[in-house]
Amino acid sequence: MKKSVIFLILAVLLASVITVSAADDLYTVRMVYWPGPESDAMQVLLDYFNTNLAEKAGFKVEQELFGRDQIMLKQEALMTAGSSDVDLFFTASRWLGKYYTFMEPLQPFLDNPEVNIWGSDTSGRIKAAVDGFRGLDGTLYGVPMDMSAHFLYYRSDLIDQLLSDPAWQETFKKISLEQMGVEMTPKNPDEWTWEDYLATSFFFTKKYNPDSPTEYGNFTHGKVMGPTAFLWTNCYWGFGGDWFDADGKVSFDNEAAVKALEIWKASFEKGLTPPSSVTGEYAEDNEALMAGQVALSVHWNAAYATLDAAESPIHGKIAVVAPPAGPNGRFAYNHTLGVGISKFSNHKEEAARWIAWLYTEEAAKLYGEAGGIPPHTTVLSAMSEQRPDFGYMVDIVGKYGKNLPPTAGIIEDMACQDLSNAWSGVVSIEDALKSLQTNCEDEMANW
Amino acid sequence: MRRHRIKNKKIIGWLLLLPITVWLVCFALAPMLYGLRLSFYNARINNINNPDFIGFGNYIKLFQSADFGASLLWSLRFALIATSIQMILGILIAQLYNRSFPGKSAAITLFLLPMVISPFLMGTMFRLLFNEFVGPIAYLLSGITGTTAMLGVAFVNSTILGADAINRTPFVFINVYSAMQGVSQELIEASKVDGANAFQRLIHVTFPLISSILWVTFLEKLLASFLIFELVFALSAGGPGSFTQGISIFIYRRAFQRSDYGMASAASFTLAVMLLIPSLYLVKRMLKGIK
Repeated sequence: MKKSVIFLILAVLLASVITVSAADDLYTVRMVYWPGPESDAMQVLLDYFNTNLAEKAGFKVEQELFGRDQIMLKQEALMTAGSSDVDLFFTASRWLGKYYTFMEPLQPFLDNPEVNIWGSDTSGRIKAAVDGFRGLDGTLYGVPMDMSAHFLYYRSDLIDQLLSDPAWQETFKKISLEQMGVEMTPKNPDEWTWEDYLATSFFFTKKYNPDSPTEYGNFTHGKVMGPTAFLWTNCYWGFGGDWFDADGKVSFDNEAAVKALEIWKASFEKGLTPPSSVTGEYAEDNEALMAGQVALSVHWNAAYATLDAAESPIHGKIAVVAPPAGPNGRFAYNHTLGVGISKFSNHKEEAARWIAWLYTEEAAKLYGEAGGIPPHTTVLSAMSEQRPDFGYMVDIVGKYGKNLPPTAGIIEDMACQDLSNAWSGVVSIEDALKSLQTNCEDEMANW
Repeated sequence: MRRHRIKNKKIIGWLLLLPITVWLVCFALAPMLYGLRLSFYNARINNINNPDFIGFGNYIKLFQSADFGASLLWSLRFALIATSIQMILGILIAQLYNRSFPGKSAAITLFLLPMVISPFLMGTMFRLLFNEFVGPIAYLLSGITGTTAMLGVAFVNSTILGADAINRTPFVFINVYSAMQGVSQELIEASKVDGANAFQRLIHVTFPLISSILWVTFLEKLLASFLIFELVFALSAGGPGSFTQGISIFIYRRAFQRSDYGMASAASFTLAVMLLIPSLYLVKRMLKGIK
């Protein structure tokens, strides 16, 4: 009896070991990803893939979350150490120029049917997003997974009244003449130039219009961080400028930058934006809009879900269009987060097969349904009823979308520091631009 | 036999020191030397495995950089003002607490609470409390300041000084209060008999007896304020622009946002050399206190 029990226990133990070993036979591809709503959406993809496709693919996948704020710092440690601990690095389109030397070109893998068993290609994704994952020579390094873009948010109830109320229109004309030296008439936000944006900001600022329903006209992000500089870039592009000229040289000390900075600075200097916005960003902008204190904002697409949520005080009163136009056109900044294969991975083919699956419509659909924003035209359009911001994304990015080049990440910190010095009045616009040009030229000489 | 025992004792002493020595060599000395080496190279993320030797190039650029000079100046000004405020407040509060009153233990515990909160968390909390739209402190202060923009150019320095004072004054208080507790009551009583008032007793009796602790606290506070990072980073990130960018934020941005490891290392070593004299003095005073 005793022997039988021992035999039974041993048999059960052996069976468990065999089962566990069999389950662990598959290699686990390790991918660094961005914690937050993006990683929540990615987890849904991972669960689906590991349950349904792992056997066919021959591996499982897991994500490593390094913390939202310092993800690149931690990843840089892996890169510089040449670590094979992870198979896929997280990246963003604007950072690619800084990190592509640590990544493997993707196209040869996608073209290899033995690796790309799903037969996927890049055609379903928004072209600007895919191009954001190309190096300066056009080499593709990754898959764009999550897209961000800039919208002009406005209080539709207030703008509707402005466009229909003759008394408001008269006040608008009067204030624009007093403050901007030109008598302007209210227009539909979809036809705005940056001057219209400023004129409307003056109108909705109590300091200039005591009857304004909002305290301030707009919320302008001023915090010293790269993304703040990107918001300003919509205006800079509109006036004909760009971070780099056609030869790839840094280009900030020019008339377009002065004009765009004057627009930005006017908001801070004239009190059109809440004073604290000089150190404010995403969260503060949402607070200001939801508190009913501001009427306009050039802001991130992701804010739409919060601002128009059923419980939001401005639900149903917020609308979006592309950022205003300048003399050289209208632009909506966008960038994409995604992953690329680590140069140090010992399992590049598995990593590439995973990326190839991420390029499928199936993956984009799952990702979108799980709360991510896949840069996939068909998926975004199909989901636009339940997520109106997806529809706006397709329209706005489709018509006006523009990326910064992959080398922008190298100078985004110094760009923001000098630009912020200018719009907050710490130094003059001319001095800030001279410093920015010199600093960026010096820095780019090292790359 | 006795000699053998002494020898054994020495070996045990060295063995006991070994773990911390190994730890310090591996995790303090080696990274420091690596950093020193890096400061002579043009080392960025794109060439970190094969950086270019540029001699004193980073140091020369550093001393030519207006950004570095401005950061150094901000840190120096902040350290002097913050330390002065906190020393005065800490001493006054310690003097206030240096007597018996009901609920004293609870009052001390409450006063020490901010000290145990991480400065980054403190900064994040203050960022909310000073928020223009939902921040109660910003709202209350607007009666005096005339604005709710406590993180704007006009008030951001005062806001940081205030937040740091709440966070770090308890450290001064606890040091001074502990020292005051050690002052003989007989001396205080004797000075009272001699006709000294409270202020005279503090200046002529208490201060000379606790001067060693005051110096150590002052220097420690001065160094900590000079190197302040977390609180400023959470509150203003060094902005608007580079308006509140101290030396630590300067180094952080060079190293981790611009991946310019060579320049960041050069700045760190320059800072280390600058702080060497006050640090050595601080250690000397502390050792003197221990003896």
